[in-house]
Amino acid sequence: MQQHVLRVENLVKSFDHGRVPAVKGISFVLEQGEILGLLGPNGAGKSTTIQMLLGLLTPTAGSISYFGKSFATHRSEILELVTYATAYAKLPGQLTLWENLDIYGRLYGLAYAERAAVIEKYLKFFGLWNFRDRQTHGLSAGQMTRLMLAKAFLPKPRIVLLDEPTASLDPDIAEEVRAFVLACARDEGTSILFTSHNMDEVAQVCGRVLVLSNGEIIAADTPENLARQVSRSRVSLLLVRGHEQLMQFGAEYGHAIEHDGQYVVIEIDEHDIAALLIALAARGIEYSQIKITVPTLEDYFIAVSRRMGGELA
Amino acid sequence: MKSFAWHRVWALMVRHLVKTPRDVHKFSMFLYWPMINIVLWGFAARWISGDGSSTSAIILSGVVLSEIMNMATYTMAAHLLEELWTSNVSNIFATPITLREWVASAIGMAGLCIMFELFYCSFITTTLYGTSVVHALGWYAVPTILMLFISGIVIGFFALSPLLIWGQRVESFTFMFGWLFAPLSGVFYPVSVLPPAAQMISAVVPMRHIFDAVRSVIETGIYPWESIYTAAALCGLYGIFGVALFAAAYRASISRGLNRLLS
Repeated sequence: MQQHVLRVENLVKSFDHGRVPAVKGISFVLEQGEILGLLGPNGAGKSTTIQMLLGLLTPTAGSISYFGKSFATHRSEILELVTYATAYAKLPGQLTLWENLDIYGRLYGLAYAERAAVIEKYLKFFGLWNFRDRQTHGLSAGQMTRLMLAKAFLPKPRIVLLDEPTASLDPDIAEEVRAFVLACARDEGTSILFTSHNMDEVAQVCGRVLVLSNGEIIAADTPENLARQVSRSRVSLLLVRGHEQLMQFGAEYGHAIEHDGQYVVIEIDEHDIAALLIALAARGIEYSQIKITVPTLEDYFIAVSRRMGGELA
Repeated sequence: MKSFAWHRVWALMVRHLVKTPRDVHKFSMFLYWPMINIVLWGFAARWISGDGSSTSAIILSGVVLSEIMNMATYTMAAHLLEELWTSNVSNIFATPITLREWVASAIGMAGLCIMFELFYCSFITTTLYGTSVVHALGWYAVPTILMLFISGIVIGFFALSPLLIWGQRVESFTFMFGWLFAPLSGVFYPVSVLPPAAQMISAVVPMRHIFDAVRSVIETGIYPWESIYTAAALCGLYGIFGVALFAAAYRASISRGLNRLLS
């Protein structure tokens, strides 16, 4: 049976004496070992929610509980097990990478030997070992992001809040980070709340996604189901013969057919694609190239952002 | 549940202790300006009063003791300012550290800094003038410096509060706060030379009573404990207000979000 490690109930945050609502009564749970995506356009309430989950911002109303304990009354105890990393914060520039991690290790109560071992482990894992004695002000944005990730995973947390963890990273390093995050959830049972503007990444990493818009959760589902809500698969054919038959077929079965350059594009549900291809062959419709595009989370995000009049992040 | 963890207090102190020797700004605050003040005021006092007079010793002690008190205030405020300057405030407050532990680490750092400053200033004054605050006050230096330390901490709470609300925009206040009370404290002169209204106001300034005691012990050899008790009572009173203001400022700040302090 899955256990809720985080439960958020009717969380509200408004600023300026209630005149500016930022989060409007959201509720959700995070299960042990789950990677939960938090998506939304700029101003949707993602950062506000994360700040409240970290105790950096007081909620106006509602409750947050971790491991069955109220965050309001057990903050310090809970934050020993909950960490976060963001690509947008920094660490003191005049301290070396090792010193910065050492101080965070001390804050989380790690003993010297344990601290040294995990610092070495994560500096090596994130490709920063050779920079360990360098002051952090000389780091690139990508290196700083990796250092923040090392900081987040240092105390063996049970929950990690990752805000844009792969921003500024090279593709190969980003892939390693995604694999690491998946392994942490799978092997260690670490629960992760994940925000990113990279929809492919969210679809790859997150088992479930919450979509925020104007401070409200407007959808909560798997990335695949969300994608299917707004878009169908597109089968693009470079026809050799049978254009008229194809148009007739489309009219008979109600498939939308349009032209995209040299290609003829048919919009269809994903599970009907096989039947479509059989039908095309039966009607003598020949094609030299075929491209099948399935709906993605990005399609969903763009559609939602347009619908909400939001600005793409 | 741990209500107070010393390892977290020490962790934050380590963070500042490691950084301080590498910081040019700290170099000027800890080494450069105290030395300049001691040289300027010390020789000026010697020229005005002549060698060996108590006036010279009073002025020199005033310079050193006010540096020590201001150092306590500055170190308290710099404990937060450092995190704002390095965009590290949300990293720190998203750890298990509590506000009480953070304050304890700030006070701990202030204690270490004033001890360093005391030794440093004593070294300079001994080298240049053949005397030091400890030499001038004897054992009375202990309660005097302790009370100035407490005064500096109390002022530190008042200096931290606007920083928590408005962030770096008001950081210059931090450097002004320490000197704000100097004219009424009688650091370099007895408050009897002030206008009557200013004298009345100075009666509720704890440092005035501490510097009264300093002057008394240098001039007469008598340490007026009642002045120290008065200063302690005033510090206690202002301390309650200062801590309450600081706690209220923290609550107000966290209600609007600590991240906004970085903008």
